[in-house]
Amino acid sequence: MSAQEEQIKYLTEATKKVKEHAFYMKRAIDANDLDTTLSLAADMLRELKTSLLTPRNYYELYMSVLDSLRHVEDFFASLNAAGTPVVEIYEKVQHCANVVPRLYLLIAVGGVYIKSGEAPAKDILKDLIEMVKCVQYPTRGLFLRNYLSQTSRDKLPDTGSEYEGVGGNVKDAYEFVLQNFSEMNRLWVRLQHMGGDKSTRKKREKERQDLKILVGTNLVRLSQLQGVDTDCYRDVILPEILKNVVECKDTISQGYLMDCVIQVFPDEFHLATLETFLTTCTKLKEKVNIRTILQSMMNRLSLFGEGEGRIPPDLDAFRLFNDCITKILEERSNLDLAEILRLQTSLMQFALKCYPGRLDYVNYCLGMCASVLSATKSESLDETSVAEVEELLSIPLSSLALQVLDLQQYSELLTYLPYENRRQVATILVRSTLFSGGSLDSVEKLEKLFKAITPLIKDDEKESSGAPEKDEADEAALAEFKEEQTLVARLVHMMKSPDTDVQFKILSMTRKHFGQGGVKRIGHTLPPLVFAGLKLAHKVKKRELDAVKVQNKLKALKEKQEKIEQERKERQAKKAADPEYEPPGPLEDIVMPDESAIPKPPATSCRKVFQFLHEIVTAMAVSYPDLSLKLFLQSAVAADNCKFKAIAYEFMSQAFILYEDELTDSKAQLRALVLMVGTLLSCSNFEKDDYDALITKTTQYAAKLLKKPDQCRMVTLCSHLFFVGSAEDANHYHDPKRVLECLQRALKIADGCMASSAHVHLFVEILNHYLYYFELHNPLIADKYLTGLIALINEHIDSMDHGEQRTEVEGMYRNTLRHIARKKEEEETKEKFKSIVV
Amino acid sequence: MSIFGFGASASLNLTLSPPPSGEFKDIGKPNTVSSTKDGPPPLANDSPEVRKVPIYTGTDKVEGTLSLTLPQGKKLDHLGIKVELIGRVEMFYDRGGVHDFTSLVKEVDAPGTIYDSKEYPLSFDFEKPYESYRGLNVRVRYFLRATLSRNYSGNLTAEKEICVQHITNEPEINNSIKMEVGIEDCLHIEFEYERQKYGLTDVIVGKIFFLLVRIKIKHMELAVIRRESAGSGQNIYNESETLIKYEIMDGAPVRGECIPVRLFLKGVPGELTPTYRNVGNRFSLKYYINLVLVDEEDRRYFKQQEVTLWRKVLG
Amino acid sequence: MANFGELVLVIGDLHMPQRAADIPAKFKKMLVPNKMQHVLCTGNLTTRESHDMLRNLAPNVHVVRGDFDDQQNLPEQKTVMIGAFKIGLLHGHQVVPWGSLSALAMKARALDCDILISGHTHESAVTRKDGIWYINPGSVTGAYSPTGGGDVPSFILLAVQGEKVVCYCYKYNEAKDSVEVSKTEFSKGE
Repeated sequence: MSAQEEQIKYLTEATKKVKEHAFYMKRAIDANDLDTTLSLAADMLRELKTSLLTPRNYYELYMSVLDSLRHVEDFFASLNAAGTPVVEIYEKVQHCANVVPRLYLLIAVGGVYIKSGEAPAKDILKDLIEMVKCVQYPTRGLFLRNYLSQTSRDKLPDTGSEYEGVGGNVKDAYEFVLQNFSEMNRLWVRLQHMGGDKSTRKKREKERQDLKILVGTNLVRLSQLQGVDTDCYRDVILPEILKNVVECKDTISQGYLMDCVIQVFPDEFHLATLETFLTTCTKLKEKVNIRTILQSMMNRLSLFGEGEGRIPPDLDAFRLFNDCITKILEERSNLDLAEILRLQTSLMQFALKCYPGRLDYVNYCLGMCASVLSATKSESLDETSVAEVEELLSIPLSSLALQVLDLQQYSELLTYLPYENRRQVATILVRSTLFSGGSLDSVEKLEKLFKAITPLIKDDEKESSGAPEKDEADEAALAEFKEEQTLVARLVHMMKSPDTDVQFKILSMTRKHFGQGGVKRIGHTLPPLVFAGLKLAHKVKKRELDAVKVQNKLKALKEKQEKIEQERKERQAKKAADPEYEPPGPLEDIVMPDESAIPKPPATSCRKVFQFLHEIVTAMAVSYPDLSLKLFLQSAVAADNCKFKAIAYEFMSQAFILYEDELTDSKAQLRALVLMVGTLLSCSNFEKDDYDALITKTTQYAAKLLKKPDQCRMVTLCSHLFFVGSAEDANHYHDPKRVLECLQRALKIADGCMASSAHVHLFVEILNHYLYYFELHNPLIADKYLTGLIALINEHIDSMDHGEQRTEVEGMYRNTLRHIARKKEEEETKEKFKSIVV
Repeated sequence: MSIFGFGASASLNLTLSPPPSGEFKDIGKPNTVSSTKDGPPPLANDSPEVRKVPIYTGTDKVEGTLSLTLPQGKKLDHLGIKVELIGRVEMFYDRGGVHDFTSLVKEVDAPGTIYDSKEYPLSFDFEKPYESYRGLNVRVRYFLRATLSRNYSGNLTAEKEICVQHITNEPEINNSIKMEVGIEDCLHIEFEYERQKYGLTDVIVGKIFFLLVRIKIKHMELAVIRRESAGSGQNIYNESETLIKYEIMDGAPVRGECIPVRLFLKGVPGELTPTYRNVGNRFSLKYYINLVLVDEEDRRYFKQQEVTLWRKVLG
Repeated sequence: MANFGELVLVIGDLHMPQRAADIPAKFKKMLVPNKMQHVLCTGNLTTRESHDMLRNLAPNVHVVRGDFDDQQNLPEQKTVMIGAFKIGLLHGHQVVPWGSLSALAMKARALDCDILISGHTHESAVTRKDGIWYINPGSVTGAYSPTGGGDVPSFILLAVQGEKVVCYCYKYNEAKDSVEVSKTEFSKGE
């Protein structure tokens, strides 16, 4: 039979006997027969004498016994109500020759005795607590005392209770509970030493864990006493508890009870006794995990600090915890590095929560770790310690974000971490920075940040590279790398200085750092910098314009002032010559603006910003031609917008060079061309010659595309380049002839696409363009072309194969004709459209 | 009814006045009957039923009436009527023996003829030196016996048992019992009982201090033992009887533990009597409390202490 | 909750992380799963994370390729039927001059749609021309655009009920940290 089965058997048998005795006992109760009841109750209670059951099973048995014992309690109460003095029963139960049943019965009567008021509660409690000493067997003693604790719970002469007064006072109440606590703890500890070899030690420890709540309940009782105030707790209760904790010299007990104290007593009590509590912590056995105790206390106080309460300013909780930790570190030479780091981490966490403004505390904790680490001889830390340092450095990030960089020790500690872990911390730092939403508005701040997140920005010289190789199969690593670089990229948008000069310095410096990141990183990090630069360019431009405006105004003012001065002098001269002279009116008084209030032109010119952008994009052009081309185009539009025609032209030229030199894929070419056309149309300040050169080139590119349909569509698209803006626009560009040429050329190409049956589709598209220019009043796009093209389409469309393509073409064509029909009807276009034959 | 069928005959009857104490004792079957084979001669009035016997102290007068009942119209010749009061020690061990330590005879009527039923008042004023006692081997009895002597037919007799108990004053000197005992390097305890002398309904209160515990104690009990010593010289018969084994501790204490002792003598089953140091040089009765420690291998360690019991009240 | 019919989120030009750090928090709170049935995205998500985010919002997600999208598998343009409406969707950089309604009209005719959704200009707009509705959700991150658009994060929500559409245009006001909504209603065949 397995031990488990044996247990079940024992328990079943014992429970059965308890039930039997209880049955007859209840009969005796019904017959009002005290003697028989007592004798049967004793029989029932004798089952609790067993030593065969594990604590858990003993508890089951205990509960079923207690269930029936309630009837006995009630019986005693009813006898008392009928006139029997309880003291008689109290004596009678003591005639029982067996100690365990005798004491259960004594407690049962004791409860009734206290309630009856025949004797002061305190006297009965004292008697009971004395007599229960007779059970020294740990498990039995613990349960017996638990019954005592339960029975007496509502009968203590606590302040405000009905037993206070003659029955005693809160002192009697807590002394009773404290004594029970002390004895129970001793019994509990003794269980550990109940013999057996090492193999049973673990079993014993488990059994003890199962029983701990019985001991802890006493502390709960103490915490429930109304009469125990802060003073009483500080002066009596806690010292007594801690005395027991220290003196029992038991690892399990010390750990559990310290935690219990933290959990059951109110925050106010802890605040009043923190020093005592912490002093005790330093006296605990070596194997007790003091860190978890301290952590638990710190958490408790943090929650209090975060909630409604506040840690009183005269209580230097941080110092107290720190002193405690220092002492522990001094005295426990066997603490491993990871544990020391964990202790400091907990303290730092506490500081972060309870003293949010005290960065010095955080710095201090970091410093402690740094000094511990520097004292460690070993070159490389063990894995656990590394994890701890990583944790230590990650924790303050969520609340402090960038502020950590103001902590001197932070960066130093980072150096203790291997590249990999530093990268992890860096990732969290960047995330928190992004989350906190603060702006990176100074070069110094950024310098610190970049130093801290170096592993994200560039590869480590010594160790493995952070950027995965392209052919690496590890997709996860690649994804992680991308994610990190995305974070770094997002960081750029946090760089927001209101001063364009500072902003430029920031971007330049960032560019320097990003530039060292290697090919893989710059693809992610430089583009955001380009866009930040473009944004800045617009701002600088505005500042420059504003400055010019102000200078002009100032110049005008000065001229005016000079004139007035002149006039004044003339008038004075006239007055001197002729005293009768009357000036025609008072002279205006010009108030010149305060020089310092006049907006200064930016130190960094807009031109310089574009130069900066040019450098960045050029730097990445070889590795990322496609992307760089797009960035050049974006820059060109921006430069044009800022009226820098030459710069815009330069950017366009660079894009063209990339197109010619680097873009070989026809799809990429097509996409690039579409953007080039769009870009050119968005610029409006090119010199005419430059523009001509650019659009001619573009059209040539279009005509050279690999696939005919692509050629056709691009040439069609290029026609737009020759017809920009309306005639009223100052810088419109109209070359109707070239437009027509483009469209006719497109038609010709389309005509060559018969093989792929794309020609009808293209015809309809081109028809739409004819229509477009017709509506825009391009003088060369005449109604006859439209009529002709429609006829052509009509002719071909019927020969198309039925299918998706035909449906699509028919739809588009139908819409086009419907559009023409609509224009034929509309008042203002009726005249123009009437000649088109559909 | 006469066994000879002559119809109703004369009879003697002893009636005692209520004792000065007003107390009576319930007496059942003698507790010794089953324990000895060649037991005591059956007593005329012994019956299994509970009887109430008046209780006298050592100096109380025993008063009562002897009634002679005659059937109507009969006469009775006799050689005299006497009433004896006897105090007797009965021994059941060995060949046994009866020893009357007190015998007082009173002539209540001279020889003659009696024609009517008649009553004689009785009064005995004498010293009763010992308490009535029913032990294992010994019994102390007091009884009245009336005898009407006749020539031809047998004598007429009547007997009446009385109970004698001595009330003692609270002892003036009553020291505590305090002692350190132990087994070298194994066990060292100190026990203390508050007093040495106890009234029969008192509570034995004490403490056990454990100064050293190296054995695995399973439990501890306190036994109350009565020792009856009868005879003298070579023929001493000691009979020890454990009246109760009262468990006072469960499990093993550790060093420094102090376990309370509280034993209600009232709860001890069987009847407690005072300690009898010497009853007519025939026997003595002593009480002991025995502290017993039982270890896990059921070895017993004990220390026995005599306690003196005394009687506070009759009953 | 009132019955809005089918809710269609129109969103695009996120440009994260190249041009913006994130979608405004106020928007993020509104863009939660299980509210919309469709997402129509004009493109320039640029990253997989953004794509995943959209996919979490609604069961039907349609995305077209923007000029800065690298994913080759995204279509340049597509049409979707929602309610009685055929909706054309494209990024818009392919239509020149950028943002020109006349040019977009050609696209609408080509796609044979009732509503044409395009982005690229980063300026949200709801316009009607020749019986077609042109919707531009702008940039939800307020991403930079060299043409001068952008700066104002915006998106559009369409409530399609059969032949009726209510078009809500959300704009984020950074200075006030508030969201402004304007509303346009139209029916098919108006």
